[in-house]
Amino acid sequence: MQTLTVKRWTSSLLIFSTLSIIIVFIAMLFGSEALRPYDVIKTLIETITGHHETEISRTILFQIRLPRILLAAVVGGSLAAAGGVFQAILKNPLADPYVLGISSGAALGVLISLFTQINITLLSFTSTTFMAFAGAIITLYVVYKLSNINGRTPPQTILLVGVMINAIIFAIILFLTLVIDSNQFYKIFFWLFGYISSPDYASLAIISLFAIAGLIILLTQAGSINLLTLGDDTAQTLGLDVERVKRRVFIACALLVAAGVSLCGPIGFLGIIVPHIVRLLLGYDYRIILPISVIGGGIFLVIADTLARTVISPVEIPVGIITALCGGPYFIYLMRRKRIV
Amino acid sequence: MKKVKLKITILFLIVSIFLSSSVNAALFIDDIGRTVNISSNPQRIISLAPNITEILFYLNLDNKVVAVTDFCNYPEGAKKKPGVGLLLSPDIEKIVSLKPDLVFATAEGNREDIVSNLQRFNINVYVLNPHSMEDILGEILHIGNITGQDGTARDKVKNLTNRIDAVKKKVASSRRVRVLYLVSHEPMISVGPGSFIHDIIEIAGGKNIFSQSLIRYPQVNMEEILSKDPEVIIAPPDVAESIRLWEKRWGDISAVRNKRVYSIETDIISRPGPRIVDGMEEIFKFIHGMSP
Repeated sequence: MQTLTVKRWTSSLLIFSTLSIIIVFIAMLFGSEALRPYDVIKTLIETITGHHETEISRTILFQIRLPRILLAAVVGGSLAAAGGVFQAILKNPLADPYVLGISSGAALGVLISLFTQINITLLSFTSTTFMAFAGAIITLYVVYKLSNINGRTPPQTILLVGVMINAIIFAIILFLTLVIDSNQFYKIFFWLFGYISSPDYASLAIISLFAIAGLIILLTQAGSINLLTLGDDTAQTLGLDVERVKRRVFIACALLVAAGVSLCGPIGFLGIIVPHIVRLLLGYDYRIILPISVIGGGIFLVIADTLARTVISPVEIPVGIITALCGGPYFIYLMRRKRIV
Repeated sequence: MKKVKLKITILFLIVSIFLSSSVNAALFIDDIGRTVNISSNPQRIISLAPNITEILFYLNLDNKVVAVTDFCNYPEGAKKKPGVGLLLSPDIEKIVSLKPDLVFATAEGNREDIVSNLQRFNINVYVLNPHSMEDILGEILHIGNITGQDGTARDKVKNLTNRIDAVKKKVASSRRVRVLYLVSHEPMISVGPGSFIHDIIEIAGGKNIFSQSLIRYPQVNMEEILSKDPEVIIAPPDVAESIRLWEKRWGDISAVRNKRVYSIETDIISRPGPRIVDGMEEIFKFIHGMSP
């Protein structure tokens, strides 16, 4: 594997960013029958030239399709980054953004909001969103606190505590869905598939703020994460304040994943697979893995969601099904060709 | 055409019931093809689903029902009956201890092993599996037949049929109104063919905007909703509440602009029981702005 140079970093980033813009543009072309690719281009030209003849086309394109694509990009990027970082600090290739119970915590929040029937709405955020966010953050905090033994959080401990908390919360969820009336049961069932909606721009901006804040923290820690992959003890002897780095990384991942999961449910698979693909393609330096995972995760979810929207239109396929169906075979192919994980 | 078919079905059922009720011991074939031997009028009946409980009470069998599930919340009397647990996992021990001579179960609501388990204890289980409005009327007649309430069942089904016919007659000549039904809001789930709610909407003179769905409960998106522009939106109360807040963003949708977002209690349109006709009339009211 080549060593990371500024030139390689810049060129990789440039290539992936350009690719992502092209893919967002292509994704905008596809959707319901009401707006075919030809109509999209016409609407775009009309918008640029200032002719507003087809109001409904503009609404569909700019109020529904574009915010949805952007949400997919932001959430995909967040999940991929968090997944990659969890794999690094937990030293487990199977870690995904939900391994520490974030998604089950969020699901429990959703169930509670369905139970209590409180209806608050702020922008695109409903009580479901708020409760999911709270559930996710609280769960991650509990996992972190419980893993902390004598001021240290060994990776194995975090992982095991996470798995246990996940199991406990999931048992509570199963119990609640069993006794909850069947009409509410459907809602939590569909939520667990993961989905992408069309947010308004204000909500999109807030989600993006969370994501950017989380990302900035992660990027500043990228060098330290590289050291952490050598093992906590080695990193410590090399002068790294291991616990401080972990705390920061946890806060960053909480922001990234909780924001995504509260608006989109637990979209699976992408958080495991994208960082692995990036590592197979670009090596093991988190200073490059992180930014490219973000862009790659965004691209991946935008493509998956475009397929989800269009393949059996007017009905959608839950996006989680697409991410696993498309990502799985590609990952196996790549792994066999490179003969490494 | 559908109406004629319904009438023939009902006529056939009534004739067959008339013939079969003259004998005391009878072999019945239930909806999943099992043969059930019911020797005399059952006196101790257990219902394993809310819709069956509603049918039993509807046929004045209150006194013969010894237990129901914990989900059976209608009519009031059902809540006072002993519970045998939840829909998916009823308490076999309790069922056996109540010594029922007949248990009604559903093919979609109850687990298959529960039926075979009860059979081991020589308990008669009759499994219902209705898929349409006609099926539901048929089930009411069947249950009446099995329980010796043929007369009541026939009268009540005739009454229900008349109410359905009245709605069908009214909508026959009128324009079909575009209707969106939302089961859930986050994510957005609607209904497609194969679901009772779809059937009811179509019978009540609506055109389900997702009638082409291949899936019974399809996930849908705002783009499709906006381009199909529903004139009426119907949803359970909490979902309807969220939809009313769409106004600022999705005021372009006819139903939202014209304030035609209605909420309906899910039980009366999703349970294959007699109240489904009430549900149909309510949806008729939403669509046409008047009682049938």
